Amino acid sequence: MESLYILIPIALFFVFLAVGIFLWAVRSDQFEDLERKGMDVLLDDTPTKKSQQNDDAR
Amino acid sequence: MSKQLPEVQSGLCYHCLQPLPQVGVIFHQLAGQPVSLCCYGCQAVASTIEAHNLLHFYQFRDTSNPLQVPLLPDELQELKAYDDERLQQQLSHAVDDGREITLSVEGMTCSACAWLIERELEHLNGLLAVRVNATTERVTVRWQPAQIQLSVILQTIAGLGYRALPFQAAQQEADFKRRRRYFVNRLGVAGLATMQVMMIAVGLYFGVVSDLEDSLRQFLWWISLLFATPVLLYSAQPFYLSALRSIQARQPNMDVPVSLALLGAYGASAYATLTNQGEVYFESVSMFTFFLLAGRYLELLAKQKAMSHAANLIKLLPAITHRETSDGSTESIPVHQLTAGDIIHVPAGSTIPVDGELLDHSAQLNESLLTGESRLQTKSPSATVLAGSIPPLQSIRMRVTAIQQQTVLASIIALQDTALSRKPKLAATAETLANKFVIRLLILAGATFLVWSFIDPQQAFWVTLAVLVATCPCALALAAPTAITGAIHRLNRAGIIVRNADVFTKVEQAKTLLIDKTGTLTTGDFKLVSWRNHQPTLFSDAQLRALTQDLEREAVHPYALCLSQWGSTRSTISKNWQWQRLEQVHGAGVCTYADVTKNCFRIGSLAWIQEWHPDFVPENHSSQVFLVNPHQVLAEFELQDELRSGIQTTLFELEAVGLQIIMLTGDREDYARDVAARLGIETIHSQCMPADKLRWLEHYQAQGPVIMLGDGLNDGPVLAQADIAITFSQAADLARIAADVILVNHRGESVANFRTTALRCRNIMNQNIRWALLYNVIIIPIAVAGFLTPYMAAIGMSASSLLVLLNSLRLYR
Repeated sequence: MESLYILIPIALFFVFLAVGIFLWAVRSDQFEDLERKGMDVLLDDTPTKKSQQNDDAR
Repeated sequence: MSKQLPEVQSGLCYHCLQPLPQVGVIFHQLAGQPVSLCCYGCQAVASTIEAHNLLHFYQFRDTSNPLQVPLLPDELQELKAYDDERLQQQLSHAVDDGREITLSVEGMTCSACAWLIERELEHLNGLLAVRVNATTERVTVRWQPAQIQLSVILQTIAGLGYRALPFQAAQQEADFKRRRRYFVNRLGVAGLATMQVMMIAVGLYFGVVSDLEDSLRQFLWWISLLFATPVLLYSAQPFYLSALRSIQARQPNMDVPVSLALLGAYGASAYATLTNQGEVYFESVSMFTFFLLAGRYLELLAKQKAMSHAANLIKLLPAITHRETSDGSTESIPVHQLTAGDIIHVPAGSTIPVDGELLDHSAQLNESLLTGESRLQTKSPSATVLAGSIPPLQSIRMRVTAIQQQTVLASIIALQDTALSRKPKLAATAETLANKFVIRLLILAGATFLVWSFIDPQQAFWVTLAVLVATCPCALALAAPTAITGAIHRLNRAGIIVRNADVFTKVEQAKTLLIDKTGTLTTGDFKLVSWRNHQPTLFSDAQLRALTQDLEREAVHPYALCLSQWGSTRSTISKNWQWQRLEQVHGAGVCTYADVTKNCFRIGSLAWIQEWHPDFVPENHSSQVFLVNPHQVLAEFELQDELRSGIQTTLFELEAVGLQIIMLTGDREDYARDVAARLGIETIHSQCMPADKLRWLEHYQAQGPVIMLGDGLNDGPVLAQADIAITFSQAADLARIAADVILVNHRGESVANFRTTALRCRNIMNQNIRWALLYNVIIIPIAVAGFLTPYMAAIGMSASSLLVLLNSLRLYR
């Protein structure tokens, strides 16, 4: 049980970290358009000059 | 790109997903794949997308919503006027390295569209930043005016098939963003902290049954206190502020008992922690805060979504117009630079920006935005033309007489504003109930404390606390919000946006449904329902279609528009007729003048063609238009106002549950009667101006709450004053601002769907309230008698709240 005295403060630190990250995310507008961000993963950032060359090479 | 592009349904244009025309389909190669496109506009856009390596768009776009933006080359030219310095001053603002502007984008249907616009704009030189928001359909652009013109940016977006126009971000919008952030911050903190408190609470719960070391228990209490403090002092702020405001206004709302309960339970728990005796309720207060906050946030989102849907189309009047200069040519200038006396040209199909007098010899205007009448109005020279009307067929020249705030349009807007401010607000039943309840409860708690101070002073505080906790009106406070949130969510999924949750409580009492005709019951277009070829040996069907089109080509009657479109689907037919000229006969139809009788035709009303064929009796008694030559009747046509999909069954359904259905229209009696007969509506008030509609509404409101379903600008004032106002998202802007409920899916069934859900929501709300009251009434005597230990009280409180929550969750199914 003594370990709790160490583990809980450590957990405390992580929670503060999470809250900090969350507040930063809100401030940098990341919660403004939830629909959009989900799709961003699927769509390429810089469309594909490289991949096209690869395709041509094949 | 070796990836296959996804297929679309056959018969649809690959780019815009609209049905392909019967002739003139364009076959195009896209990434080596053959696709069919409906027009050159779509081909141009598809080629641009391919050339710029943006084919990803086709892979990830949402194909369930077809694009609905027609591409007009003329409009691209007009965009130049947005480069005007003074207009830009008004619409955009300077940032350190350039200017920034918000654009509203029409035609954006999914995230892939947002991606496409961002990628395409990033290629432009002088563009500093671009951010596309797919939810609100806005684009924020920052650019350097020295390097690139705003019109180029707008044209680039137009080149992708979207229509972007500068949008004056209202003060309200900035406000919304602040409010949203305010809640997200607090909700996030509450969520993260509540999780920790709950986790520790589990440990403490076990401590009750097994042995928990005293020092460890106190340590856990302190940690809980640490986590619960930000929830109570930061996340729960909205409740305290609202409670304070309501007390100042002398109308205490539900937030007063909520704040008292939160602070009371928190204070007692903190005291227990400090003195190391008694019980703590940190988990209950944190969880309670989190749930309530989540409910408020969802409500706020629904409201804002509705508002931004509305605000996106604040383009009632165009911002740009064509002024005639002294040498007779025209220049594009911003509308706000016009002064009375200027002469402007309004191209066919555009909205007239100001009031004025007509300078052409005659013109046909569509004034449906102002009057609701679907028929074109013929104007004589120097007649008044009103801002908001549209000349659909020819461009007109007019002299400006009134601008901006002096126009008739502005006066209708003013009428609506007053109506909105007069709308009575119903106090929420649950809230009034809770208020009375809470005041009695506080008195009871005070009495308990007093009595117990005599019996056992040491126990007095804890018994009183148990009374307060056990009877905490949490369940009561959650009863209405959780049910309403569920209903809002459910409707949202069905394409119905609720802007004002008050309507849920009013639906049950509503006795009357007022319905506008044009644009609401009908789509405003006519369609051919049946026709008959009377001389199949002389004319083939295809020939008759071509003939009909040739005859009706120049006519402006809505029937003629429908018939000429119907005719135009055939173009490769041998035509063995010709004439010198066509004449439109007012109230009758169109006739030809020709040398030989075989080339004389009339197309028009029954009475008119009976001048040639007195004995003719139509085969179909509901045919309205007839095509004849001097020898024979060639064909007859039956046309109908096209009904909105699903409206018919919905009206029958609503009538069956005892709603009185009344049509309120600005249109002519005979048009209204025809539609009413098809829908089984008995009462009609036709030719109503906005003020007349308002009078009828007041008349029916005397009998009970009224639901109004309308879409026109002329419905705005009525919608504002109706108890429940429903409109469609493509409705006039004013109508949407006034409405409580907006049907995004444009379907008639949604009205019935809304009603059913609202009634269910109300039922569940009532069940919740009843349960919460019952629980409190039973638990109070037990708590007052001192049989209830505080932790049992806490469990009871959580359980009753949970039950309410679960009951409300049924609405999600």
